Amino acid sequence: MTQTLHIFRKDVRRFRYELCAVGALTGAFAWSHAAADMPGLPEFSRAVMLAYWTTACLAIAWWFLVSQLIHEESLAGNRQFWITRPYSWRHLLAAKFLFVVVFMNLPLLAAQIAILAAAGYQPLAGLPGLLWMQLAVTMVLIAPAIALATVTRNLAQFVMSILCAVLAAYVAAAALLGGGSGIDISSAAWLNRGAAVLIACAGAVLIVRWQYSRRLTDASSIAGLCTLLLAGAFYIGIPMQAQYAWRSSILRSQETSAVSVSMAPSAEIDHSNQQKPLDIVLLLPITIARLPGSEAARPEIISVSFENPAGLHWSSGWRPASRWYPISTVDGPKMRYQQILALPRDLYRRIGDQTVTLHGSMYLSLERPAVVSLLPASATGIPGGGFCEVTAADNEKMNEIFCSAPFRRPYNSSSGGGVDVDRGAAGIERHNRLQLLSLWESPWPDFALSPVFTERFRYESESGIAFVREDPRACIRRDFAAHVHMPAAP
Amino acid sequence: MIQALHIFRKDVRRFAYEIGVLAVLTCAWAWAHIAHDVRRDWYYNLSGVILSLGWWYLIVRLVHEEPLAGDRQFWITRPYSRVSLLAAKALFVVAFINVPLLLAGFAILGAAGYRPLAYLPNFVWMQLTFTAVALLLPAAMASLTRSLAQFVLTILGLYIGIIALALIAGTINTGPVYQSSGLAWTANIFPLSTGLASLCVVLLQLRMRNRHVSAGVGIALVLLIMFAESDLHWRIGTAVESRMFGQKGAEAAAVSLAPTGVERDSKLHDSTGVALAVPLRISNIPDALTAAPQIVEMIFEAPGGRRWSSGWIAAASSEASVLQTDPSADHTFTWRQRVVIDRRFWGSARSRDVTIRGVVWAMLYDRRRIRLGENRVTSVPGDGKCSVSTAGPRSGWLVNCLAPFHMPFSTLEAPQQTLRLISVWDSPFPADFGMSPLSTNEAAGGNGEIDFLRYDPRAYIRRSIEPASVRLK
Repeated sequence: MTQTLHIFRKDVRRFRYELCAVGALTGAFAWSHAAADMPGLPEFSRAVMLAYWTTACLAIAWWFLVSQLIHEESLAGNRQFWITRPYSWRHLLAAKFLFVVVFMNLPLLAAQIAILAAAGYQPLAGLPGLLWMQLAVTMVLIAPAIALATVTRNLAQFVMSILCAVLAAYVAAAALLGGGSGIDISSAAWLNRGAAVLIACAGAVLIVRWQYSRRLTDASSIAGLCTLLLAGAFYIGIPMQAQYAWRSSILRSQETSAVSVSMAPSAEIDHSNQQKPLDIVLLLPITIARLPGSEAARPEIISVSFENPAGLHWSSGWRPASRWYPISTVDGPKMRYQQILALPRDLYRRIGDQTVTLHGSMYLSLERPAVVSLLPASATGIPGGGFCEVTAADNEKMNEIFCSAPFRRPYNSSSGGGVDVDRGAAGIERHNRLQLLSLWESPWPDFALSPVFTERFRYESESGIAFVREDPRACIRRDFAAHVHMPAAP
Repeated sequence: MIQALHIFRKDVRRFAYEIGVLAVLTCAWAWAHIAHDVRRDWYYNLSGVILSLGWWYLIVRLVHEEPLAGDRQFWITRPYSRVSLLAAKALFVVAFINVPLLLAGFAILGAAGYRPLAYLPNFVWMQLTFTAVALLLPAAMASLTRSLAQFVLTILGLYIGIIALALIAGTINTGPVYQSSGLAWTANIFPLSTGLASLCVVLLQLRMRNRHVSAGVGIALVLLIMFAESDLHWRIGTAVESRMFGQKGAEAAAVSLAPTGVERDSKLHDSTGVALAVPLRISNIPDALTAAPQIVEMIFEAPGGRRWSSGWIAAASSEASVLQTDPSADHTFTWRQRVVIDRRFWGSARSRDVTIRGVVWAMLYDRRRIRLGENRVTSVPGDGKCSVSTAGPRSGWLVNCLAPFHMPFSTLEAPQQTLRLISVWDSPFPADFGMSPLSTNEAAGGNGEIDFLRYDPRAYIRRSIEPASVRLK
């Protein structure tokens, strides 16, 4: 313990300037977020941009400090001075961890408490969330940096390794995700991310342990590469079907056996959507029946295959179930929606105006959405904590929505709800309302340095606005089959 | 020359891995800009940031190879000429940063259907500004530091200094104000001046190897620029625009105080002073032209002889845009200029008659309107292209525009379900500051007609505000 404290004090003296810089940046981080997390600021105001930049700079400063700290008693190479001294590697490692906790974790915790308090939340009530965030920051940002520093000799090698890792991740992500959105926003994404972070953290711990106890730099580097590949594979490489199979095994429920999925015997060609030159866009009428009382269904992913009488076979593979909002139109125990499906035009010419056999599989979530109407010129509390405030924007025709929530993004996406329907004597069924769709499924807080998450959005003031919190209770797979008449090719 | 080439070859061997990684990163960056499917994705932004960081890293390592700071340089004991050393380093930067970026730019522009060689002057300007802003600064910082660690610490320190300055100046929380963007191009003068200051630091270090002197000169130059920057860039901008566009046909235009009276700016208060909305009117605007006030100087004279001047401020309003989008039938344009006056002056002048005078600089634009059609690509001024699509049956329009070297449009309006994309180009520079030669914009909303409005400068006027006596309520 004495030796640990001795090394710790030596490091504090050695890095006093760096510590001042990191301390000042942590203060600036707290101040800029407190200034930015308030209503009335434009999306790209100077305060908001400064908060982004300061967060990025703080992360860079931490990585810089960690690399300097570890390289002070270098582990890679064969010219370490410290192995000729009576240093115990355990004490050395303990001193480094103490340094990280005292000068990174604790100041960050203090900054997070200040940000929460400035935004009007009770910091002590959010203590479990804050501790989770500390753990996440340590696992995602600090542990990998420590591991990388243990296998590099100096800052130049450290930076070069980061550049190579980013380049590899960039190329892999671009190759695997291709034309996708680049960011997995599916409901099951938190599982992949959680698994990837756990793997990366376990690998980092293994590397640090090996390096401090044995200084096996080559073996540690190989372990690091394997960890990166494995974590990367979990992060972006798990097939969609496997993700949802995993999710359904976690979100298992007894009361879902009656739920069924079926398809009406006629498909439509989507005339409203923009048809692409090489594809025909079809609308498949899907019905989800026998839903448990007051629950709604959310189709997640779907796979459809066609077979015509001549034996021609085509499969779409697993793809996100796309539908127009509102997400769930509950019609008693049924929900109907039109699944969009793009088929190659060449193929469609051979099945158009024919009856084909369709087989499909779908993963869907069952949930009880909580809907809160947001009123203009007022702040409304949202489920799970946080609030949304609607104010008139500088242009009279627009309203501005500012939502804030502790530990999680207040909402994930926004969508128009469609057109109002006149039901005669029953009144007008309102659909012309903006919906803010919020999905809080993961058991832990979202990853960020600041515990307060804010979103800003502008919309036309004529339409109403609803905040929809989706709370999935179960994830189930259903298979269905139908004989479907295909419309003639346009 | 032989020595310069010798040092250059040595550096190439030394940084072979770094050069390889950065070449691949440059290709990835170009690919992210070329591949239509991934445009606007996170690859697009991430690749630019990573590439810039990679270049900074390479420049710092390159300069530190023959360090200029400290007293343990090996190279001063060798027959190294300073000129050869500088030439070798410059050659390295040109060969492994500028040329790959230029080739990537050619590829990006070529893939978008343009002929890159037709835009050679724009490319040269873009490379010049990019080098001055993004490459000279790290080179200067590297010449003042001994190691990469010192460099990183200095950069972090600089950033903290900027935040502290912003905190002291209280410039963080500004509310939503419609401000003239007419002289936005003059903002480039500050980074270009910083590039010049960086070059001075590098040359001084090479000459004297005294980092206290070099850093002192560099800091003094930057402070001088910041001090002068308060309105120097506007003075340069107004002088340039006056010379470029003249007053052809706008001799009769005049500026006066509109009769609605001066009121407190109720939309947006200011903690540092009293915000007023002063109604100003430009009259006698020539036929079919629109006006856009850029700079305003207002002087308030109270009865007791007290006087308060705003100095040069941007034309701004908290209520509506200060760009007149449509020509008016009465050939006038009125806006409520936001002026934040001193509290002490307000105390002595409120509820009394004060005389308001001042000067307004304004651009008069010729407006062209191009109607964008659905599901097709429409050419827009400035060699741009815009395509319109719908995101879905219940969604509005989605407009994607691209143009070489300038943003296709700067702002948009959505009155009564229509969408109007507003494009104002009055910069004398052939290219905006950036790395990519292709600029893209997108807009969403509306479900009626979509107009691309292009404003071409026709005349630049400087007019005194006709003095008027008003009572401050």
